[in-house]
Amino acid sequence: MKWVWFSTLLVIAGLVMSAKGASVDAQQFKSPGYKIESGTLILQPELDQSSANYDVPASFGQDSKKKFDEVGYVAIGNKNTDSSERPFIRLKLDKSQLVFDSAEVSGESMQKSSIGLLGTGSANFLVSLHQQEQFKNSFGATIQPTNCDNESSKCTPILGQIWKKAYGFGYRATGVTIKGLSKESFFRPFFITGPEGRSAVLFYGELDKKRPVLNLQFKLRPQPQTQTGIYKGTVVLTVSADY
Amino acid sequence: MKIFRIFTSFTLLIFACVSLKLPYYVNAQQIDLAVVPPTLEVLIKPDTRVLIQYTITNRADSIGLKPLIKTFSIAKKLEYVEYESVEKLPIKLSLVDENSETVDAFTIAKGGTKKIFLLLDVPSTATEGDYNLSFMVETQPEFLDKQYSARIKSQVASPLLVTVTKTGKTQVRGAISVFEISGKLFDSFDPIPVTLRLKNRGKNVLNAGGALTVRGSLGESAIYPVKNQNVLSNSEKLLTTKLAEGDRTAIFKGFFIGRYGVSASVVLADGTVQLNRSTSFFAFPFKIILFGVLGSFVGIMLLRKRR
Repeated sequence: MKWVWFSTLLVIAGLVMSAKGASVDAQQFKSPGYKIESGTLILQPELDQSSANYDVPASFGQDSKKKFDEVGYVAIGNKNTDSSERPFIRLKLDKSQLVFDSAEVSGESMQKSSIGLLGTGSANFLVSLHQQEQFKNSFGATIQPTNCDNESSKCTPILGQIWKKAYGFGYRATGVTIKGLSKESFFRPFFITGPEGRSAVLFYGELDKKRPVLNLQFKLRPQPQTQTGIYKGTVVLTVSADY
Repeated sequence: MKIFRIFTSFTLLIFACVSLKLPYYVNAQQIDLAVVPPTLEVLIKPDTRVLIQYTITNRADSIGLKPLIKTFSIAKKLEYVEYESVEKLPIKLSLVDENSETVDAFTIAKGGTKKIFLLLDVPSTATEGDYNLSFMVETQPEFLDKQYSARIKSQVASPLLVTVTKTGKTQVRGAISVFEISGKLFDSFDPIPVTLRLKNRGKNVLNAGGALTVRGSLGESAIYPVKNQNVLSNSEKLLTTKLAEGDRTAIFKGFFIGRYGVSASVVLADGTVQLNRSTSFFAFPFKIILFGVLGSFVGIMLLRKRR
């Protein structure tokens, strides 16, 4: 029994010794938009809320107050970065037309499209998706959005669920920041809104610069008794720089 | 002659096989569009007009585009963005080209650029406050003549945050709404997820930055800068660091032992206001201890058996 305690103590002692020398990836405290000078700060260590009314923000540039008073406005782009490059936002989409050709034969069709995002001067991207109009034919017959397989826990435009058997139209995505949509067989329907309205967020954040791609997978399972005709649908992908 | 017939039959057979295997041709239009500037903030007095220039570059095949201007709002937990028409706003917005003519649609050739101007007209009667707008260019892909087909309209959007103020003064009223570590006790090798959310209760957009500081009981410390981000009025936002993943501000990875204090320092209003919160977590090498004990136990058992 003495050996057990001796070995355990030896392991713990070894860990403590090794941890003492370990350091976490330390960095300097700096940020492009401000400089901390203790003399000018209102320190509120115990409070979590503060308010202030302040003049034309210094982030609008030198003499911003003077310019505002003279010409009536000040403007700034690229505020939240210290990049010296000219800022831009760039979208690459490998496929903007989808044909669900096997839907009429096997009853199900999947189509893929990849989104590439590039940019400087914008820390984060916001990617969202909605359906502008339902899948419908020239007679007005429609293909409904999927509810996924579990009737008691349906998928919604903001919640993915397993979808293998039910009918409808939906999508899944990989490389995104939202939970539960990258899992195998997890899909969700779109918000169907027209030109304005809600667009479901897929991704918010900074892209992995080594692999800046999001993959979309669209699935169509029309009901066997779906009226014949040419069915068309419109999906709207919005890629925005961070606000 | 026989050889020729065999050769012809064989060639026809290969041709038939290849034809059957070939997918039918689909003209899947590729998109490659860039917009400058990606974001813009404007502080403007009532009774003022300003012209904002956007440059659109097309690096793929010639493309038809539609310029749009919409308002946007963000759901509390960022589940969705809501885009609405600007028609009912008290400020007037119109999109024009270099000749000051209204633009509804335009085409850009491969490698070409197009300048679009947004005319922002703030009448003297306009209400003071924030208007969260988004300038967009939208592609107009055609439908294909197939039984089931869909098109993806792509919108590249550049947020335009307009603050209408008579004096230039803006109101900042921020609060740290969430600062937490998911859990209190971790294994030494576990990732430590930290969430920091800021609520803007003021009338105007605020800009927040700051830092997360981690201090161990053995004296080690690390500071992770919080990215400078805008938080829209009456909204909440997750603040992020370079260690951000999904809906977490940071996920600390490494080897931790003992008690760690984590503090958040959020700086607002050009650094004139600082908000502070702190929390802590404990980490111990449970898995290693367990393996050590089990290993020792097995070793002793084996030694006893030998004796």
